[in-house]
Amino acid sequence: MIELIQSSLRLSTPLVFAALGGLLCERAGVATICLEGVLLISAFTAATVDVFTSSPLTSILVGMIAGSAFMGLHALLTQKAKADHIISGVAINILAAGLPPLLSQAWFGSSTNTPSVPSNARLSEPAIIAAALILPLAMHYLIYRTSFGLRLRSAGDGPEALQTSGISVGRVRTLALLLGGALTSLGGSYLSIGHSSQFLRDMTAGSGFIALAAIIFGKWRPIPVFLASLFFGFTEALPMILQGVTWRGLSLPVQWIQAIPYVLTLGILVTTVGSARPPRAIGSK
Amino acid sequence: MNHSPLIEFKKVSKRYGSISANDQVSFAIYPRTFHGIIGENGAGKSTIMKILYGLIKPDSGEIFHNGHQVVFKTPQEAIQAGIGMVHQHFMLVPTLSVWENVILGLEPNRFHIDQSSAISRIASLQNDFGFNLNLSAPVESLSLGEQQQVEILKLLYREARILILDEPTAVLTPQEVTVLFDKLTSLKEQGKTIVVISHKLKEILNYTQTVTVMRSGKVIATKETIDLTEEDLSQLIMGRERSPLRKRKLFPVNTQPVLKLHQLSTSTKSAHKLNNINLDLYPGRILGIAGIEGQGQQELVDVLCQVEPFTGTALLFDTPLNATSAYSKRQAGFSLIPPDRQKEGLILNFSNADNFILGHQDEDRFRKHGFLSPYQIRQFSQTLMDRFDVRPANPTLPARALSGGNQQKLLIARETSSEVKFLLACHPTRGVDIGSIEFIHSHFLHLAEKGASILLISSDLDELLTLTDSIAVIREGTIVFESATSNLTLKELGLWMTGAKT
Repeated sequence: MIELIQSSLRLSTPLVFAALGGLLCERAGVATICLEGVLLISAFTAATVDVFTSSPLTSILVGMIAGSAFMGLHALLTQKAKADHIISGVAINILAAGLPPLLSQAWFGSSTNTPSVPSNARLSEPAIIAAALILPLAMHYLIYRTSFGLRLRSAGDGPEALQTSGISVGRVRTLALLLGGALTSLGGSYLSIGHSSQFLRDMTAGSGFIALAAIIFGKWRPIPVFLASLFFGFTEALPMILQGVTWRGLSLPVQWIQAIPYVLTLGILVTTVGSARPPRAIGSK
Repeated sequence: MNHSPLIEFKKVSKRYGSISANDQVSFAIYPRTFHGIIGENGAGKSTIMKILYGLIKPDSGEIFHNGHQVVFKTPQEAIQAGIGMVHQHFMLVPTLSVWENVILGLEPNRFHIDQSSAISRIASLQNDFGFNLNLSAPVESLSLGEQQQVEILKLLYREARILILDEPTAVLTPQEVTVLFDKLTSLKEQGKTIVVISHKLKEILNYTQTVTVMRSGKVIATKETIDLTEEDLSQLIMGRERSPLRKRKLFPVNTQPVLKLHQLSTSTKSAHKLNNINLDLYPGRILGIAGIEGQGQQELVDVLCQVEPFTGTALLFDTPLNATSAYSKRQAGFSLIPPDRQKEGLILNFSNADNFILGHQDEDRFRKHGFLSPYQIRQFSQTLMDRFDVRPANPTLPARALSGGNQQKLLIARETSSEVKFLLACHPTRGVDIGSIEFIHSHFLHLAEKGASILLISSDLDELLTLTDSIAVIREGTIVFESATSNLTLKELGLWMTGAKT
């Protein structure tokens, strides 16, 4: 049981950061299908910096800068160049998937992974997990109790009103994207140098998209989105624990067990997605 | 008036290509007055106010504020100078509460928002000016009249001394209009200067002190309202006398209804489902549906267009509605002027010519050897555009290039170009200027004289009272009252609509 909780928390942590980071962007009215790419690029950057500096703190900071830069690119494309949010997001995902193997090959002679860092150069897992548990409250405060939050919600639900109040919608959205990118990058860095000790090609394995699902499941509100992320982490932990468990001499086929997270996710989304109301102006230019 | 002007325009001009939106506009607005700006659509009323407000840059001319020449580059600069504007389409965030909308962009604190102090500050503001809004309610739960009050409150919170309202009554019920103008009058008593842009004569005559009349981008006159009659004003606006609506020759009595609705109800989740509707419409008669917006009018249109399931009986041309298709219905003489012409009536990116044949594309007159003939379509469009005075009369332009009133004329031309037996007309003159309204009304009378039945859904009560033979009032999905139009007054209709009379 303890084991289940521990591994649920570990698997939830990157989802919590990505989902809450993405939530910030989406509430500001920017569709963030590029969460996956931001996770990947920050995981790779943190791992690479850690190899050279052996300083987890520096690595995580540089990782956040890289993730923010990618979100900044998304901001540039969607807010300045008025590109379609989905197309820009897909382009960023492709870039973020292709860049790490190329650079990794050039720097470390292997396109599939970066060198492993020693355990004393890794992030402290409990500290990151604790941060993930506090984050939803901070986000709730930021979104509902501050001037920035008010402007952020307006950028997502009534950008015309915000613009006529004399506030630049593009600036609010860009700020939200940079901040959201930094938060998401905490999740990415945790993946490579907290949960693991190196970057592996495509190691995010769709976490960015699951985080997107958590945002929808949580109806774009920070606390429910946090709980949704925990739930998705739990469904990923479940098969690992269930494998090899027998009950009265019966054991479930391993394929069935492995299918559990996907079946649960699908079921939840199918039943809740209809009633979820996204920010009104999401994806607007 | 011995004050010096608060705002003075001197020879302000603005051109868009070959069209003069404002041509040497000069007039003055005096402090603590209620000033009306009236004119047809496209007369340049909104343009001159948007120039003042910093939304549009003028080509030439000067603007003086308190005797000093000013140029506001953005609305923020105008607001800082005490000039506020309520736009025709409200600029509110629907999901935010009233108080959040009011402070948006000018929050009392830099980072942390102290909710209770912000709310109490706005509460005292609304007390001072006689508003009574629930500040914590989300804006989307308010009526349009209340949303407009939020817009005004926003300006008062920003300490505006001049309030400009662009067509403020377009979306309001008669009762809400009275409430609005009483509020504005009391704001004026408290020292504010009010400017209202409108094309409705009565509002201007009843409430303003000074009126500026504009036509084709020019100021025709600025006069004391008290010196003007309705006829004077309409003559100034149109540049000619208003032709009274002619008496129509009533189509012979026929006891076989074209449209018969009996115990009609809808069951979808919508807030205003229809409940036990009974209506009969006979050939050559015009039946009006009056009601506050969103009382089931849309559902009624949806039922007649067969996009909403229903129970009960609905017979059109003696055929049950659910036994016919939209296509065969049109073939039988069903025409529709939908509530939202830009979304449901036209395809704005298509050329005028292509818009003219939507729904008629199968007819032989547009074909040659089985293929659509662009030549014939263009010829046909040109004829209709000339006859309906759609300007500019160029079939190859996209419909997007036309003004709202001309788009509506194009739509009406299409819908009535083949034989009409039943016309469902929803808000046919909404946002259309006086000259075009006259044309549309007289065209409707012409159709009815030839035997077409018209179901007219409108929020313009004057329109209903002048055109229809009888009026049914819809409230909360039910017809609460029906009467011959000759026995009805505007006031009585308003009372039925709001539920003051049941």
